[in-house]
Amino acid sequence: MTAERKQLGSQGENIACSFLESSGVEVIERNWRCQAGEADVIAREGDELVFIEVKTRSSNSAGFPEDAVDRRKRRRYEKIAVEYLFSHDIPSARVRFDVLALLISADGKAFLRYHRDAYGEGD
Amino acid sequence: MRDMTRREEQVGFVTTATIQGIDAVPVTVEVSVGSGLPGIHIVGMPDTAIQEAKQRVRQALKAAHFEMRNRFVVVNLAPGSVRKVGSGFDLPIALGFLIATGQINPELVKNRLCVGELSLDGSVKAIFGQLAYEHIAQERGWGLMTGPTVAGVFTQRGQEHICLEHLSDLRSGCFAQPEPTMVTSGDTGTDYADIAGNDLAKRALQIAAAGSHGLLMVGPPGSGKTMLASRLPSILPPLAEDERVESALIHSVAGLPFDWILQGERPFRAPHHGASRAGLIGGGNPTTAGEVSLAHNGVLFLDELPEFGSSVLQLLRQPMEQGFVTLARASGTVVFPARFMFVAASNPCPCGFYGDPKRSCTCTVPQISRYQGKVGGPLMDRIEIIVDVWRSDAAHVLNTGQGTSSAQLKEGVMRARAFATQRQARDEEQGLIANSTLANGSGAALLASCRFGTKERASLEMMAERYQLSGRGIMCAVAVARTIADMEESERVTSEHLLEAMSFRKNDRESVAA
Repeated sequence: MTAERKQLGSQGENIACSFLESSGVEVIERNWRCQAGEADVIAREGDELVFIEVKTRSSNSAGFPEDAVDRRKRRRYEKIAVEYLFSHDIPSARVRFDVLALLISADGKAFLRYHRDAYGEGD
Repeated sequence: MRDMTRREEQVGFVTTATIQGIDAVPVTVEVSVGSGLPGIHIVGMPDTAIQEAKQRVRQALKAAHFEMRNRFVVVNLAPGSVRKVGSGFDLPIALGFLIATGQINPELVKNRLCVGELSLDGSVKAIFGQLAYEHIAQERGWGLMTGPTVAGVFTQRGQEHICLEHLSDLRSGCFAQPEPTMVTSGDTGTDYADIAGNDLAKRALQIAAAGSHGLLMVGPPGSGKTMLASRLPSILPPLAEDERVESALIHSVAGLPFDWILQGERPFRAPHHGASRAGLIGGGNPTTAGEVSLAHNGVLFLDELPEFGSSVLQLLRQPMEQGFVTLARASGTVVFPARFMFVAASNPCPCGFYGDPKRSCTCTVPQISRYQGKVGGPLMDRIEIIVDVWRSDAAHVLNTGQGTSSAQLKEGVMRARAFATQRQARDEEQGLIANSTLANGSGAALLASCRFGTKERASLEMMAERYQLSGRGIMCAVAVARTIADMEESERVTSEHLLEAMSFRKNDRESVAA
């Protein structure tokens, strides 16, 4: 991964977190790592635990950013969720998976789409 | 973070049913909604259509503005040992979810059988086999909740039935009542008056209809065999009440219209000779009814009989002898009713003109005998009447519409059937025969019912001798003679009746190679 791309990614996550906080979603963890992989953002809204994949792109030329969250990535997030629930001893918490798509254009503007409850086990 | 752990599993129960053969088998849909990783899991031997219900249910509930966030949902279809098929589980799963999440009152589905497919916009659709569901609901004393029905609803006596047009109707509580569709005209539209001439064939069809005899028409192409056969339902007596239910049930499960059956019209099925085994006697996955079952209580007409695969024709033996078909499959054994009147048509030879007085046949003798031998003996044994059909003269064709009409022919059929019923009841009273033994083809009972005198007995023996009739051939002729006598309301079967019956045993009288 090039430095530019890494920078784009963390810039996107910063924007995402400030957006989430402003809309009442409490961010608990960022870049939480475990055996199964890394979750961009883990947050809490009401009584739900939310796992958020943040996908940032600088252009739409390779499709919308959220399209990149494919089946494999979803499966990975589900595994991460299980790891998280068990490591915090809350196996039956209510869980939600969100996708936050960001498009940061060259002039510094960011376009954001927030997909709440984007997928579940088996989709 | 500990406060996030909650135990809140709730379960919704909804009664529905799955189709097995032509019966609906009750199934309970249990939907449990809890916390955990979001996703819908369906267990209890569902087929692919039920697995696909996940997506339909989710989108339909969203479209109807119910709360449908991704939750940990387990759907169990009980009893777990029965294989479930079809898209009718969409509605019960959605209802179960709504009950488990407290969005609708469980009272709404109490004592109701719920079945229906969901559309992505939240509207509810009726599914095949509506009648079978109505039947089981009636039997168990349940009400019904289905989608709006297109095909006729068979309104059972005093049965509560509500139609759900859209899932959002659950919120308003306003339900439509199904329109009982009873069409008035029971007219088949075709009439034997359309066929001028061919009076011998019409007579044979009338006798066959009166006694439910198997019939084969042999004739060159264009002689009107198909026209003659397709008009058969117009001279058959209307379906009795229980026969209507049976036949309509089979059609309903097969997804075919059945309102005309509820009028009393008899089914007429004419499968093409390319028909497969599964198409003819039933099969497939899920196991569905074949042509023999769709022809139940009606007519099965096989045009170009020798063109049918001989292995396919052999399969007709069980239904013709027993009145039902048993399909044993890995997923279970299913029995479909299949009591039909068998009618077939055939060319006399491959080119079709063997025996035609005006055109000469171009086939060789071995070709002809091979062609005629294609239909196996066991099937030919079940055909009691064989009749030649010739091409009509031009003058006859132009007289179309002036032939003997269906109404005239039907009169004779009805008379014969009424007389036979009366006669059998009387004979039974006198301890002579039981109806059932006659149905089983008991030769002794049949002979007793004919009340032959010495003269008739002698002429029967003489004919049997001359035509070299087999035992079965004699009994076939006697059975047809009994029907002819019934048509004349004659207590006794006379030599004339026997002679006419014998004229329909062409097969026994001549063989082509001779």
